[in-house]
Amino acid sequence: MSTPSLHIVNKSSLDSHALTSCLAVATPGDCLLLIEDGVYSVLDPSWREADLHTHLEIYALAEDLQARGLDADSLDSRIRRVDYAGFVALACRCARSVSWS
Amino acid sequence: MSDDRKTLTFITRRAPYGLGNAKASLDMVLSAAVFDQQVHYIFMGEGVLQLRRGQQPAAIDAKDLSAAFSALPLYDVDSIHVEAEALQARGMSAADLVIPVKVASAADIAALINVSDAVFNL
Repeated sequence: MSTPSLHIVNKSSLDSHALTSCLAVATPGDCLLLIEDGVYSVLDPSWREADLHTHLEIYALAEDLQARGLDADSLDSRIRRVDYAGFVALACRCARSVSWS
Repeated sequence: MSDDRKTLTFITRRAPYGLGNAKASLDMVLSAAVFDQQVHYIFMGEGVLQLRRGQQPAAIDAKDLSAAFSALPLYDVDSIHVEAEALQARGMSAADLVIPVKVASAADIAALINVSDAVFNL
């Protein structure tokens, strides 16, 4: 069993194939962190159908959610919010980070 | 072999012209190879178009990137992989590419990422 990778996506899934490509090659147990415009992906209805949380830990950067008005309580509870310190902790916990833009 | 030999994986996901990403990836691959690192070079999504035969970029005053790929064996870069689904989506096969490559499933690519010390993704 390999150590997990941290996949960082900074483009919206509604506007870019970055997230699609990332998900195609992410390994169960990996972490996915949405940052910058990547947090807009939480608005993508396909999240609801994809059931990604069953094999990936999904995070979104709280500051980026807040900046874009996406910090409402109604957001998908399977997406965990992390602040910048949490971002660093994730990067340390994972063996490598893979940025998708 | 020295202890500081790392496994570096380069994923390239953009078409060859218009953006500088494709050329930047190639330059990084060659640089890493010169420094005797273990390199995996992976073409995903639109990136597979970089390898398409018959490019004539002189028509748009650009240098032919595909010609440079034939230099990869000289740098001992032989771990070259192309996403199967990306080829299929564009009606292409390995025969349409300028160099011999390994056609890779998503699982194959995941396995390469998981053995890498670092991954560069442009």
